[in-house]
Amino acid sequence: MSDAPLLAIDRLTKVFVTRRGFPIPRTVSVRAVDSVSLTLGRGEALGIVGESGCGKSTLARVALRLLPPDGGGVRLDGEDVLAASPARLRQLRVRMQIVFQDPASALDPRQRIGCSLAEPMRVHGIARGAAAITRVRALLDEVGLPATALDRFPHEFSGGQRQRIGIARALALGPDLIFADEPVSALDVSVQAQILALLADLKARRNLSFVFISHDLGVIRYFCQRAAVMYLGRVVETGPADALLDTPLHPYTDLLRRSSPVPDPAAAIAMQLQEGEPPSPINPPSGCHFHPRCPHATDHCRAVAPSLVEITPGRSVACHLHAPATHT
Amino acid sequence: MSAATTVGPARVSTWTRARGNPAIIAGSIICLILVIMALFAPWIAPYDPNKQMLGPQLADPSRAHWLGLDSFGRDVFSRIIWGARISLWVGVVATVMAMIAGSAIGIVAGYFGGAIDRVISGVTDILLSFPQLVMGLLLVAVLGASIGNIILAIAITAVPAFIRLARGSTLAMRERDFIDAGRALGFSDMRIMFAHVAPNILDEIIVMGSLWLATAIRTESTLAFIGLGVPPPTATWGGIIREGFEYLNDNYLLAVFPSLAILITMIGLNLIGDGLRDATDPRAPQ
Repeated sequence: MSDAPLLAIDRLTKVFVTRRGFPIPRTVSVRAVDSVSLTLGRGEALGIVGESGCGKSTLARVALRLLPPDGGGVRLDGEDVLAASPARLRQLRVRMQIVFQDPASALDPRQRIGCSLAEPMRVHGIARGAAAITRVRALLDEVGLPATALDRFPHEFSGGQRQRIGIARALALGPDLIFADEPVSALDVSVQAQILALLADLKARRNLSFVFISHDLGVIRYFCQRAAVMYLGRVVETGPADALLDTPLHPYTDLLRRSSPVPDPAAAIAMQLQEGEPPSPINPPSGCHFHPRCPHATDHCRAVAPSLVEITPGRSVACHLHAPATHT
Repeated sequence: MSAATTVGPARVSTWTRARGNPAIIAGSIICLILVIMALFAPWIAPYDPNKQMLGPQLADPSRAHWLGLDSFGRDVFSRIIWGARISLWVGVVATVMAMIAGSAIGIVAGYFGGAIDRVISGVTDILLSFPQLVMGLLLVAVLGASIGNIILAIAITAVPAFIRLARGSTLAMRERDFIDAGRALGFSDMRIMFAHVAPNILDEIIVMGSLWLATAIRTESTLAFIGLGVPPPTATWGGIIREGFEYLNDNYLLAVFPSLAILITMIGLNLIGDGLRDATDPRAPQ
């Protein structure tokens, strides 16, 4: 990890606004990503954990400028991604790519695999014709697919193979950074392990950085050096993945950890289930968003939103329990 | 998401499914005969369609004149064969024009959304609120009755339907991750719209096109019947019905034969269109 981060996300915010209701429509806004700041070093994997709807995927899409942001900044190697001109953005896109959750939807069903993988190279003038085909063969080999895949269509492959193709396409331009949006959640457990091993191998071989989005703590622990926990659009805790999952500071991280299945029959009794579902992001709770589900909530939690404070070097948490200094 | 999984395999087999469909086979045979008739009219038609015979006017069908003679003593069978040329040409060209223009506009509306979509959809809704025939009439009346203007008028009446279809299909396609993947890979909007969205909605547009072809041919005949078609003496199906209509009491067969020609064409095209629609619908029983 060098000192200058490869990716620096600074107070990134995304608000979805819709008009709902009849006969008098009301403007409803959802802060899907609420002032999120994260950094990622070269060759590092940062896990983003949270329940569905907490803004994990939106964060990735805004950082990639697939969705327009509503505030904050994203810097890749110090360069402002959100302010880049269309031409410059095209060049920046070469360096950051995305792998999607559903590999069936991520590939154009009417395009042969060879064409899918060669197209980005042609568009960016990296290679064309026979040279592109040679590179595509190498990519297929790298992700563990036979060269015969070239002339086939996505529907001829299994889910795991399609995910390999999706990964190969993300690698086609030789990126430094990959946003992996739940890349193994749609796959069988046995296939998950293969894909994770492939990603870990690619990460080491190509010195790739990953923003790895998942709701599966086991996957995060296996793949990521650091992790960030999101709740209703906000980051509530960050830190080294092992430490964060072994000794959670934030009550929500603790809840996530305790509600993950443990592969030990004796431990099942110890599993405590927490009451309640995540509140509606349209009308989030006041103060700390987590207070309605938190066993330690106080009046202060209901009134004031805690900010993310570094407790020990490398570990930050947004919780009043751990930052008494902010009680003023 | 789960529906998307099944679309891939089902779509590729569309044409395989279509090939064995009896409706499509029957429709294709009918249409093939019509196309051959139209293409080879000069060789198939027994007489010059505009030549006035010496035989009696409004003659009944006979061995020499299979479908009889019209009020000018012209051979009705030859005129119907030549009329197929006009009907098919106008129908095909107008439908293809509408398909291309409507799909392009619809894809743009669906892909960009926002203000562009609101303007395009608003105009489309206004155009759709006119009955198709009224719209065709207005346009021909304004533009003047020539074959080019009739094609243009029919194409314009068909465009809104294609815009709406392409827009809806594009909206559905936009939800698929491969569109975002293309953007993340730095593809231009044009590339995504016409190299990735268009091929994936082509099936639906072709099905719609085969059904609209029937409508376009009917509209052409209707315009000709009203007197706003390709001007006489050119033989058109609608024109022959119009002439026959004037002599309905003397010899009703003159109006019946070209009507039958239109009916057979409609049946053929609709058999193909319905068959294709069933074949492209992954949920349709096979």
